[in-house]
Amino acid sequence: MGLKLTDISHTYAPTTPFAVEALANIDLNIEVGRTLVILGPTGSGKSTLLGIACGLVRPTLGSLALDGVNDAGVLVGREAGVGLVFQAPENQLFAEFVLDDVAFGPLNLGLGREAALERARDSLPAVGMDPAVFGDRSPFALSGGEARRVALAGVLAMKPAYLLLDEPTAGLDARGRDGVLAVLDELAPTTGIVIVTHDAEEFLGRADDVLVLAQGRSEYWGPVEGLLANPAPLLAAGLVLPDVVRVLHDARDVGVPIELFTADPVRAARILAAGLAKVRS
Amino acid sequence: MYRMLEFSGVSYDYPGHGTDQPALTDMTCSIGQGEIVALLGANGSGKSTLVRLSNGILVPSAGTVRVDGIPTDDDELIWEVRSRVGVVFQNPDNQIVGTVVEEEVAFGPENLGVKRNELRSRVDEALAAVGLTGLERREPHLLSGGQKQRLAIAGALAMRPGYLVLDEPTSMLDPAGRSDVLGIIDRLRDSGTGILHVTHHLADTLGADRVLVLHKGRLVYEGLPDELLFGALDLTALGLRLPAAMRFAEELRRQGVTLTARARDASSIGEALWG
Ligand SMILES: Nc1ncnc2c1ncn2[C@@H]1O[C@H](COP(=O)(O)OP(=O)(O)OP(=O)(O)O)[C@@H](O)[C@H]1O
Ligand SMILES: Nc1ncnc2c1ncn2[C@@H]1O[C@H](COP(=O)(O)OP(=O)(O)OP(=O)(O)O)[C@@H](O)[C@H]1O
Ligand SMILES: [Mg+2]
Ligand SMILES: [Mg+2]
Repeated sequence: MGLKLTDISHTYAPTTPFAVEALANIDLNIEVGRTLVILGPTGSGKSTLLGIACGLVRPTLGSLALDGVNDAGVLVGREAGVGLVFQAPENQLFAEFVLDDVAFGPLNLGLGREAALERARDSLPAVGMDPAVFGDRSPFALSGGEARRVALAGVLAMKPAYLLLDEPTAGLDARGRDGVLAVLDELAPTTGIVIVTHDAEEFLGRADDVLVLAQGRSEYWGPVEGLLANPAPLLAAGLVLPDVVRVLHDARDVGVPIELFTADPVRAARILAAGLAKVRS
Repeated sequence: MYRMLEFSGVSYDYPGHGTDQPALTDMTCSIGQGEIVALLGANGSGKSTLVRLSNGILVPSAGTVRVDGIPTDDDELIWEVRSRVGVVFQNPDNQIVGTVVEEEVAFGPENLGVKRNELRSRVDEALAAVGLTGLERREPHLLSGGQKQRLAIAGALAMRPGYLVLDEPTSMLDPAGRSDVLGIIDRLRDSGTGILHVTHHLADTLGADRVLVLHKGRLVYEGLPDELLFGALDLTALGLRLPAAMRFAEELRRQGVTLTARARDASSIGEALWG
């Protein structure tokens, strides 16, 4: 089971003078019930990797397997249960009305029209949008954050077993971010979730695993705690340690016992407070 | 006459918008030279509408927008307006027109009549500022999301406008890119540019001179960043949330840890705890 990527390399426009090596020798396992976060600087290959994982981009080298079926390059896709929310939501919207746009995915899965609209009416509120207000609006006359929510709703409505999200909270306000996080928390036990993000603070706290990319290469792939306890790969990739994690490290350096390194602000505060109490007693 | 970008009693209603309230209602505010004004607000609160009104892409349904005294709704003066107000739109895809990166950056200044040799140095400088040196001959649509966003910023920088309006310019950038952009904004302010910076991140507003908050198309707050962060306003109701470091500090206090300083990031929290 799972979506397995083995030794993936990808070069855009190979054999031309404009060749760009976007990925090199990436291994990745995406499992139902686990959440993976992908971090990496601008241009490090994150979106390319998601494109490959959902079958949109055929890798130059390497293989894919979906639930044990090899060379999923042709099999993987929305029908097969891998949903991708694009980095630019506008690239995903196309229908005349918001409700039809969201219902399109389920329709394509073979659901009847009524059942598909039902799914659409259910998934819009999940991203904080009232179908009665937005359902018959044009997806192209929305604010940036509203457009992203509609794109998210469209993919959620398909209930994919594997959900790939490219910067799902960029451009969302605080309530929208909380809404998306709540949906992800709900889906997490039954879905393989992959989140590409620049917001390590927001997502590392709720992820199981993390992949750090730098110039198309893997700097780290493993449990989140491991990376936060020893963040050298993060820094090597040119990323920064989330503020909260930095304070935990500074605390340990001055002799405060820290039992676990986490990026979640509330949990981190409790861990630090416990450590400080130990020092005092 | 004051030199500023000035909104007076501005309302805007999209034709056929379909909801009962206009996108923007009776908005009055100004951005002066050498000033950073941050603009916050929930999704759909009217921020991008204000951005489109700032250089005459949209003209107000009521009220006026003036740039150094020049109204934006006079067709004869629209290029005067556009040469003074540079805009980085929320979605870089809607902004990029050039066929290769360097052409894209040259496009604005070329239209302003900048001469060939100066053009070259402006393009190189702008690309360097956003970290895109080396990608001059790339086709823009083959760039990554963050590279496109950097390109859109470079295009506006190369115009050297008196006012720079940025609509969530760091939404797709990595942390380093983000602080690069904040640094660029700071330096532009110091050299006299007036900046309007739209963002969802309260941490981005710390370096601003003033903060505006829109709620359902109306201005509901105008003040100093510190007053917003440490004041009595109900941030959640406005679709805002404290930066992670401040939520961390809040929870520390709740756990009985004394933090004297106004903790806002790792260094100020560290200072408060172990000096
Ligand atoms: N269609 C394409 N043709 C050629 N090169 C491309 C294409 N798409 C992306 N690239 C290049 O491949 C590299 C990886 O791009 P990718 O979009 O995967 O990066 P990313 O990690 O998602 O970056 P960002 O955080 O900016 O979105 C970049 O150097 C980019 O310029
Ligand atoms: N082209 C359009 N036609 C009709 N209505 C629009 C259009 N663009 C935006 N609106 C509506 O106007 C209101 C304000 O939108 P605006 O884009 O200014 O919001 P915003 O504050 O920039 O939001 P976001 O944070 O999501 O980018 C919203 O209700 C939106 O749905
Ligand atoms: Mg990307
Ligand atoms: Mg907007």
